Amino acid sequence: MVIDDDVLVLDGMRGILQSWGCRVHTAASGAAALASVADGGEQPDLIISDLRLADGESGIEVIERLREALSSPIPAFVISGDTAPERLREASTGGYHLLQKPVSPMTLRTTLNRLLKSRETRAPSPHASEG
Amino acid sequence: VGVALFKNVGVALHKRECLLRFLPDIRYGTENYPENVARRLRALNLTAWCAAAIAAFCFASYVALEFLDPRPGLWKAGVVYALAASIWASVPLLHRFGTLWGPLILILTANAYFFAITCLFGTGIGLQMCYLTAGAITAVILGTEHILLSAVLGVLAVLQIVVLQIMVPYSTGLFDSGTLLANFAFTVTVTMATLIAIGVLTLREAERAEANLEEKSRQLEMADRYKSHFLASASHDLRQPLHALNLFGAQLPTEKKPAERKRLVSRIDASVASMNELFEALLDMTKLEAGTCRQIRPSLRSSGCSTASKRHSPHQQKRRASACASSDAARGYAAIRSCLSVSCSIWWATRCATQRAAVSWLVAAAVPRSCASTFAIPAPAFLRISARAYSASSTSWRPLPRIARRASDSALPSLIGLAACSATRCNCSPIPVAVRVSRFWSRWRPNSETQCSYRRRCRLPTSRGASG
Repeated sequence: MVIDDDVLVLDGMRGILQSWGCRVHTAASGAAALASVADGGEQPDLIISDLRLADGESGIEVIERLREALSSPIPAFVISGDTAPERLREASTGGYHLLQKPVSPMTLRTTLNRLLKSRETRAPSPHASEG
Repeated sequence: VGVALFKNVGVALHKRECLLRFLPDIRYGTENYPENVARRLRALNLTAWCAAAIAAFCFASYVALEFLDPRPGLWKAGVVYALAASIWASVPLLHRFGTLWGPLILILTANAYFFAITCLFGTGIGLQMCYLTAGAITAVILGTEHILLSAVLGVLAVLQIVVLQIMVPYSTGLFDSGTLLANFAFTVTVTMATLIAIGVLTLREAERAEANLEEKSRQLEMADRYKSHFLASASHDLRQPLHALNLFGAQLPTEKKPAERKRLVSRIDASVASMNELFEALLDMTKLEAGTCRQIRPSLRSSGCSTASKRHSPHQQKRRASACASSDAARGYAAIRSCLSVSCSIWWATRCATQRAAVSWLVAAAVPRSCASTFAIPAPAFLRISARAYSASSTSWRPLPRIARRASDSALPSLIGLAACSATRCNCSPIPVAVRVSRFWSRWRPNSETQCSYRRRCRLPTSRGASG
């Protein structure tokens, strides 16, 4: 599940993740992400969210809400173009891995693999891809 | 009765205003100095005028005393008071020669005045205490930058006090002991009051300076915070398309399908365009800060709202759309109002056919100026329309059908433009449409005399030149 308020970024993320063989669900806001999960969509293996979403929404809050709605500690990391210290502090205090935009595809893939592997070691999943 | 009363009150107020105009202003002579210097000079003006008023009062008292109880030698005191009053009253005139002349003349005159009066009446009058007040005023007015001058003047004052105490007797016999005591009490009271006032003023000045400093530091902190916030936002907004560019760029080499490759290239183009737009905006901000940017008046030609880019996120598109809608509505409203006012003016111009001068003034001056400035309508459009109306009115002595034809030649295109714009939901401006319609109208009319007439009068470029 990729959450970002920028259409270009969403498109790019969807494209690159699909090229790596992932099933990707995208959402432009927290409400859209919750709606896609609530509509009987499958549980995502991984959540990638922008830190600062539209209308002052925080990516971390959206991840928390998604986890709460699905009652599962789904692995997640945040991507941010923000350089404001309070934003970075917010991510680090929440215990989330933060990638600074622009993220190179190599870094993205490494983080993705690391988090998915950690999920598999905790609770083996029937899906090998995120969705 | 009411009208007469009103008139009388008006005349009285006018007289009062005229009188007030001749009263001295505390800012006199300080206008050309920076605020910190001017404030000090204003305090000096106030001090000088207060001292002049006291000296003038003393002079008047001594003149009265001379008539009531003439004593030999009393006129000398009167002369001293008159001289001191006139010199102190003219202290503000000295500011034009520099900031030091006023204070120096005030203090030196005060010293001479204290010395002369004490010599005349004796030390029992207590005027030597005023040297202390003069010293305090000197330090306050001259400030810390002239501390040496203040010290020299202070030493001079001390020497004068010592000389007076040694040389001058307690009473010279001009005043009896009771009058001397009364003068002493008055002098001491005035001295104490002045010293307290100086202390309070100094404290107030210090508080003001402190408040100014706090305000300045608060403003600096806020500016710093805004700058940080701006940099963070700019960084965020610039990283966004760069990130997308990275992702699309990574997909491109591995993509085999031509259609998908084409789509990726278009997305890369969109990312680059977005970055360009941001850099342009940043550059414009820098230009604005540097003051090298020309102000661009809002154009009514195209709102550009219909071309909302698809690369923006939904919330950005929503925000832009709402901003554009309100801006469109405002522009449309302004344009309709302007168009109506122009049409009304043209109608009025044709009605007042005999008053050619008034018409030409109204149309050529009032309409373009008021409408163009109020509604930010492009000036050439107004010029054309008003020139058209002018030419219609200028031939107002001719037979009526011709005037009516000219008026229709001017007003009809405007109304057609208005109707056309209303029909197209104000996506374009009525004025350019009106001008275009009028051009079309004039071109296809068998006799486009009006067009030629206004071009000749206003020396406007030809329609081909203007459109080119």
